[in-house]
Amino acid sequence: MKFLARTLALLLALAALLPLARATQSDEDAHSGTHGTPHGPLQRSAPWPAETLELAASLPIQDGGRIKPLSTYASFMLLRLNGKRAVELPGGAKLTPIEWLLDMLFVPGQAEGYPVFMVSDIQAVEAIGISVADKKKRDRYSAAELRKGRSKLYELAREYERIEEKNRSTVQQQVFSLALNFDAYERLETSFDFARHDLDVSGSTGLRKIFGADSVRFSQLVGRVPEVMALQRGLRSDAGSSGDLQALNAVLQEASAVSQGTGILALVPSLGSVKAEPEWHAAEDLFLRAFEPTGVDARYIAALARLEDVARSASDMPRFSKAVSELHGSVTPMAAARGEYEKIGLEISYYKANLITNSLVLFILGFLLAAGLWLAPRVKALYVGANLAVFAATALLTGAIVMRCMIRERPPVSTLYETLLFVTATGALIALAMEWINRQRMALSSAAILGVVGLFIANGYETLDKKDTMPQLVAVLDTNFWLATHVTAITIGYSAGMLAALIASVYLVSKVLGLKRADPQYFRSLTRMTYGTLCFGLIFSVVGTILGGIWANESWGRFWGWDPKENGALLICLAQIVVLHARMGGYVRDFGIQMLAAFGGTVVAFSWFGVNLLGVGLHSYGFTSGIHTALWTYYGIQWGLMAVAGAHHLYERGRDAAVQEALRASSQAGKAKPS
Amino acid sequence: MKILDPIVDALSSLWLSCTLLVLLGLLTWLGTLYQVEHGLFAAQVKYFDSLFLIHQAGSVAIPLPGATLVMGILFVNLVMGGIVRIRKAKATLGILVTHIGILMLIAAGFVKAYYSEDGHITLFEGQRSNLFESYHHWEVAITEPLPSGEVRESVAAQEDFVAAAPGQPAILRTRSLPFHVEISRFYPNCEVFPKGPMVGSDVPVVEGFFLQARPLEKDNEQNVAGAYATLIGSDGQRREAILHGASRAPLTVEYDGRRFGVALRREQWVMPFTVALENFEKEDHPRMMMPKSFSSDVVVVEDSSERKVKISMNEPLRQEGLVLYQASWGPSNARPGDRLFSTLAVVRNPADQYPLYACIVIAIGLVMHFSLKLKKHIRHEAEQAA
Amino acid sequence: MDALNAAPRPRNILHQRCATGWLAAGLLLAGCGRPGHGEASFSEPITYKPAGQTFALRKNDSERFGVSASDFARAAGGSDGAKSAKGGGKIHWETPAGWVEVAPTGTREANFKVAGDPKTECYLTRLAGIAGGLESNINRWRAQISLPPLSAAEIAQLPRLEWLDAEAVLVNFEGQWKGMSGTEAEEGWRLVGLLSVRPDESLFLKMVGPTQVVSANLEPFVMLAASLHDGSGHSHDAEESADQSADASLPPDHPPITPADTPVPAVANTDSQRGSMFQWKAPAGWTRGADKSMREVTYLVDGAECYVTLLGGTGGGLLGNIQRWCGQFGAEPLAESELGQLQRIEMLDGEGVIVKILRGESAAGAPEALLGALCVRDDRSLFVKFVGPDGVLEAQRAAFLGFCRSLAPLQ
Repeated sequence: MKFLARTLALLLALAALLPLARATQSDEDAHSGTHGTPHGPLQRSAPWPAETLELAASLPIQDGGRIKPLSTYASFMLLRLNGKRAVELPGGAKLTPIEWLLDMLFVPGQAEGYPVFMVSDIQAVEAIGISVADKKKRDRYSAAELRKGRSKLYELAREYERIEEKNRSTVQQQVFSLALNFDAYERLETSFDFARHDLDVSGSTGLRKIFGADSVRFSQLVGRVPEVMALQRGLRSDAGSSGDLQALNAVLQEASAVSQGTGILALVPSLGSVKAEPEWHAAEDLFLRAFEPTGVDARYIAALARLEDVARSASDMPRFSKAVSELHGSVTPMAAARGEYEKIGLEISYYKANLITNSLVLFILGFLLAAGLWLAPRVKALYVGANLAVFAATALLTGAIVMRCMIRERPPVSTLYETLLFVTATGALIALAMEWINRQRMALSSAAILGVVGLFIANGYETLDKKDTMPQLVAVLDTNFWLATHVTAITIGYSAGMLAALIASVYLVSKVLGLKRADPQYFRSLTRMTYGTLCFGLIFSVVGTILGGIWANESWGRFWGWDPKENGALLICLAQIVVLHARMGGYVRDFGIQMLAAFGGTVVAFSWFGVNLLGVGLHSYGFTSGIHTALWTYYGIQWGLMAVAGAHHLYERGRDAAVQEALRASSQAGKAKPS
Repeated sequence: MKILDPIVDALSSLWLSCTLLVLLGLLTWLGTLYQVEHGLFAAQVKYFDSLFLIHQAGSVAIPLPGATLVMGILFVNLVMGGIVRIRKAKATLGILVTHIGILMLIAAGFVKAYYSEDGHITLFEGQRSNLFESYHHWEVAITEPLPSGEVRESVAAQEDFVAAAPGQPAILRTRSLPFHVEISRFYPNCEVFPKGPMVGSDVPVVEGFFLQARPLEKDNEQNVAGAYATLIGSDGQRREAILHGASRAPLTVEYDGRRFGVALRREQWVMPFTVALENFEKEDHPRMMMPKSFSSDVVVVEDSSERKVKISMNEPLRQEGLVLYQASWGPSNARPGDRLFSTLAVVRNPADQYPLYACIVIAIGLVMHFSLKLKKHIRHEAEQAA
Repeated sequence: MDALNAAPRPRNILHQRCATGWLAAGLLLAGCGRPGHGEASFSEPITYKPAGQTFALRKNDSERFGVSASDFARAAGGSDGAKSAKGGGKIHWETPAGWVEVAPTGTREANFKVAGDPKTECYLTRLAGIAGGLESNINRWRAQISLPPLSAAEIAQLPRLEWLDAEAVLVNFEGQWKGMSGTEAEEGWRLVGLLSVRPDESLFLKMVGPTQVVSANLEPFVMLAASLHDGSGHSHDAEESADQSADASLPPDHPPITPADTPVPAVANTDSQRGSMFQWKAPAGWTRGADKSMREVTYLVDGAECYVTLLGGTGGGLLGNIQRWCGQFGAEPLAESELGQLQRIEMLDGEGVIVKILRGESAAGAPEALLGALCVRDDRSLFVKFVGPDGVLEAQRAAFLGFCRSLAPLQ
């Protein structure tokens, strides 16, 4: 009956659509580009010229909610895929991120063979059915290699997506993130397909008349959409021209298809103001905009044409260089008009200067010199050299932090990565100040150690996180006042806490190893340093914690809510207050203070990173599973050291008590005093 | 008063301070870890708002004092040891100031705990209200609509019926109404079901409905309370009823020709002004799905005056002792273009600004104390070097 | 070294510990709160004028608890939610197997959770007028799964079909779900929907969720779409479905009992209904109730309701249906041996069995009694249920039996 008839009609209609589902797309189909368009040239004829690379690097792009140089985009994308910021080719040659990105976009056929997918567990690759005969457990793969398992990869990823992240096995997680990476790669490598593609309009007389040619570029079509729409209206009312209408619709659909997915690279600045039109453009949305009554501004069309020129000249290096320079000349004024180009140069210099790495190198040098000083205490040159190295390292690091503040227009700390830089810098500064006060060399060594460890962890964090370290902030953090006060104070508190723990560890190690046994002054001086650092830190921890409460009161309406991050801050304050009171009550002396300060380091680490790993609460803003390992390694080392030192201390005390007992016994007996 | 001496000594001792600080630290840590499994509210009730608790470390039960008890003693300890008995000298001035600052902080906490009201208003765009309700606490309210359009309302707080169970009912007497209310069972989380023919139930069925208790949710705001109530008229006539926190309307009863609504609802307060939500806006960072800002455009109506205000993250509205914050929004599955609601947290806290003053006092005290110490230390180092 | 000059321990540590204990005990006693039961008083009344919401009194319990009457009645074997609606206007549907119907919200008239997947939902929206038009609605949906809008030309090419007596557009999109809450988008979503935009009102049926789930539920979606019909009676074609209760259903392999070529009578017996294959004589004093899904006809009399249901095959059998009714009314099940003692009447050129069931104690919400006639054949079975107060049923017993006897296939 009617019911059946209707059901059948519906079923048929749906069934007709089924083959469109992505699942049925075969791997081979998929490879001929998502849109079935041909790729650009298969091989690059020569290396990209240096000045062209420089121009390309300084092209602005909107990504992650901010405007950044294309080089920053390329380097974090490569870091994400490859685990490092370079491509190593089988022949031994190396590519920089921007070189790789240009290859990806303009000679995708060649980039296809680059081993840029880092997989840490070979099982993940085996799981998608790829033969791994000549691969190591942790190895790199090219897109061409992975392509064979593409559909299996996506299928598994969809399956694992439904498992909560913390419940995924390592291999499942690896497959999942490989799929995300591969997807990003595919979008990127096809993002210039629209620019290379010629739209065939020969099937429609009307279109041929409009364009005066049999094939047109994407930008040409976008520029004449109003005429095309008028043509379409005309054809629709004319029953006799259905063939023409079909051809026209086919062209529009083809254009829509080639532009789809180009949004991954928003390279065309908007012409409106930053407030009214925050979003930049890509071929995708400009195409859609063309169908709106407002139409597309000619300058957008020109920018699209520049992009096409670049993509179409990749096989001819001089032409390519000219095209890139024209593109640069066309988009940078558009960005500058919005005030969105000023920071690009600064950011390029920031990454070019490599301040963090250079600072790390100097800290290592300072540490080596300070270590030499322990062996040869009297060599004045070593002392001066170590001081200079550590000072220069701290200065570079401070410079890096200042540059970041200028680029982001933010106070120094607003992300977990930045806490690492800032804690290292302030810790080194405090230690240098102490060295300046007492010139005992211990503070200098501590500064060097802190610098090396801190920056090493910062680099590790960046590699683990694989994301732009200058991200946009979520709504609640978008307040420079509280970032400057609460966050800065708390972070200085972390810094002092970690430095105190470090000095305490130096003390405990010295004790256990029996260093400076004959120099009680050395140990007392260390305790004064620890104590002083704790006092300094306490001011900032307490003030920072209360400021945090006041901020919470301002944004959520409650001062204190026993939220994990709040509790962590409270724990730091309590740990430091206990030390002061226990010392005042005479319950702890040098050794006790040092043990408590060492323990305080793990309390700081818990509050700093540990609570973020708990995954609850309003404050969990950063999560990286690798941190978990690092954190527990630190707990292990610190507690292990405390346990050994404690045992050693008890042993010595027992021995001393025995000696004293013997002394008393001998003196009571009126015997001769021992020598 | 020789006999009190050891007690006073003990209460003002540094030993006690250290013990309490360590205990507080331990409780803070345990309470933080507890949140992972059980949520913030449960952790707060168990570890922080309690006098005593049993901590389960695996299968071992460890009795511990609760944070409220610890902080109570710490308060006494701070006053006696840290302020009254402390040696008054130039060297201890900073410590004294710091301790006074901490007392101010505790005072703020005390005022907040006893004199604050804490809840939220949730409004869809276009709605208005002059009421805000608690996130956590329930009350039984009897509301009588008056011809003037006003309502007259009496309430009984959750503390008065929370333990009601068969055999130990809570009898809630009204002061001037022709009936009173008896709560015979109270469920902190439950659902109301119609009693179908195929459903068995071991609780009373009233007018075809019954309450089915449910395990407590991790997030306390998700719990919906329910109760079996009996309304007893002045003539002794009893009327059974089910009250449920998610009801759309109160139970309607009639006594002496007057109509009353009886409801179990979240504790509710009346504001001296009305808030109308005109528009809620969630702005994302460009080309991303990361929120950049949330804000509610509201109109504050008081008497006849109207004022437009934008309430956003970090920028609350302060009006007549109440502070309204942008707290939440929804529906979470809303599609672009759907009508949205905005939740504004509402707090009345007389001690709202105390922590700021306390913070300044503490900072001054600490800086005084430690700069004195640093000066001494530098002088000491200089002497040694000389 | 530290050991040698260890600090002297504070002298009265023991005293201190005892004192702390006492203090703790004291605080505990002082800290006892209210017991939470026993006698207490309401607060002094306050008077205020609520802004915004009006104070709603006089709601019955179903309205108060938001449990729809249809849930309630369905469990009791009674009528469905459309009872309150007069004639047309109300849309009826059959919930596909494996789907769960949830309470309608806002503009969602029917709301389903699909196949136990929390992310997938399907719902029917009904708006007055053209509701923004076809194009804006399609493009709004596309925006929800991160797809660029379609041009008018592209929309014109979307497949059309007849749905609810008007033209509807079928859409089928795949993309990235862009819920408003999350900061993360979800890849691999599929949206399937029907849009019927008419001058007077617009209907939208949409299923959206992860591609796999949606793809696996296309058939239920289609069944749901096809089952939708309004209550005005011109599209009453759910005869071949099972009764609303889950336990009586058409065997899956059973051919449709209504052959597709059965002619629909152009003009039926005045008292019969369009689309029904039966005719009958209505007893005096019975009034015709609104037509409902799965019922041939409904009559109302003195607060009792009588209706006829046709099922394919044996429809669960004679005893099975009687047992089910007993269950619905909370009555003791009928033993097989008692079957033979039931009254028989002549019905549809064969035999009908009459059964009377009184409500048991556990079925508080059910009508008081049921008088039923069952005519079970191998190919099709007809059930006549008469439910309501026992007094009415007994008073109308003769009329009921007469009605049952009058039922005859349409010529």
